[in-house]
Amino acid sequence: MRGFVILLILGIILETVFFPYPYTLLIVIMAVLALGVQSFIFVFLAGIFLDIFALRMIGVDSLIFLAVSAFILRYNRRINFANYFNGIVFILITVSFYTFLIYKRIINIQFLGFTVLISYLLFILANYLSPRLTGSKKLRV
Amino acid sequence: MRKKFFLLIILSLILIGLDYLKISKIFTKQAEPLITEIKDVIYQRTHHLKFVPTVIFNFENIVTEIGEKQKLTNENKQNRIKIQDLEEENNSLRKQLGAPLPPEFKFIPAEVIAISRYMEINIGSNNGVIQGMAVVEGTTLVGKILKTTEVRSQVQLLTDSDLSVPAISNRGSRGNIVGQLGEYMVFKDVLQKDPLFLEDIIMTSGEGELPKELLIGSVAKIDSDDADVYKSARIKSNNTYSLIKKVFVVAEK
Repeated sequence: MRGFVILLILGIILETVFFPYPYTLLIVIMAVLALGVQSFIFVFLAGIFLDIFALRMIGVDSLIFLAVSAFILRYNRRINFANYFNGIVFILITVSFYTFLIYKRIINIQFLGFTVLISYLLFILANYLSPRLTGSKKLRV
Repeated sequence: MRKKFFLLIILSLILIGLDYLKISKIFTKQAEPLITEIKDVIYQRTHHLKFVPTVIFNFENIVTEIGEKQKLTNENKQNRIKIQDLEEENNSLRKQLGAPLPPEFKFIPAEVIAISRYMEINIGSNNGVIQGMAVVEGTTLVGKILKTTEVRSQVQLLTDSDLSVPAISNRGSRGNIVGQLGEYMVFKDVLQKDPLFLEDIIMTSGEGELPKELLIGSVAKIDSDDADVYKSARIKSNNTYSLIKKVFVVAEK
């Protein structure tokens, strides 16, 4: 959890100070995949802090992040978001939609390429923070 | 767990309601100075790193531009002397005719602390900033104040899709500057009969909230279809927003 908190702080600073890209949403998705239902408070607070830092209406990002979390947890068994390919496709769709909704930016090839790259890196990092993400802590016989 | 989830959803909705009624400001007010300080330190300390890719990829252009700018600086110095003489002559003529001197703007200096979709500056309502004020860098318009707290303000940039600024070209053609998805600006709703050429200077027309004759940019590309009533043009901005460190908020006296 500590690792995700550090990533969250970094993500909020990058998103609100340097470039309008939903780093926080990416970290929230990773946290939900890694921590499951225990991530709800983390997701809620991530939204609140992002709203305060970005001077947006407080509660909006929390609502969006909680909705995304609910979708992931509801359909995880069917879609298996922990699979890199499925996860990256889901992230591409969610991040593109969020970017258009909040930042009013067009989605181009560079954006998609950057999203794929950063998602892949976050998957690898999240696996170190919580091996549950890819099932590497499962009992082996 | 479902109970926890719905509880958090309801809490989010309550927070949205509180923020809409501006009640949440009582709580967030305490965090504002710290947030502003953090953003200020991070942005100002890392600002010079933004130049690195630009320098690497545009080295030859930069050397040429430095030479041209030195020439312009010398011309500028000569023009300043001429302007001073003309101002003195203008003021004395106005006094003779009994006409009032033009109103002067009050400029409130501010430092940029963040650039995302909006620009953030480190002054707010405590410094006299209110919503709708123009923000300039030199004589070039950067944007308009969208939101303020006591210690920081959000500036809506000219490239923002939600901002429309009435503008006029140096040939007198009127239209509106509209942002396009945070990437560039378009000078729209220009009548077909009005003259519009490449490199025309575009500035604010004074209609709406913004003062007039603030520079916006120059025409880079014209889109015209004779069958349409209006034509439009893509505008090249005088500013690179990500490289701006200091701006001024225009408060009319």
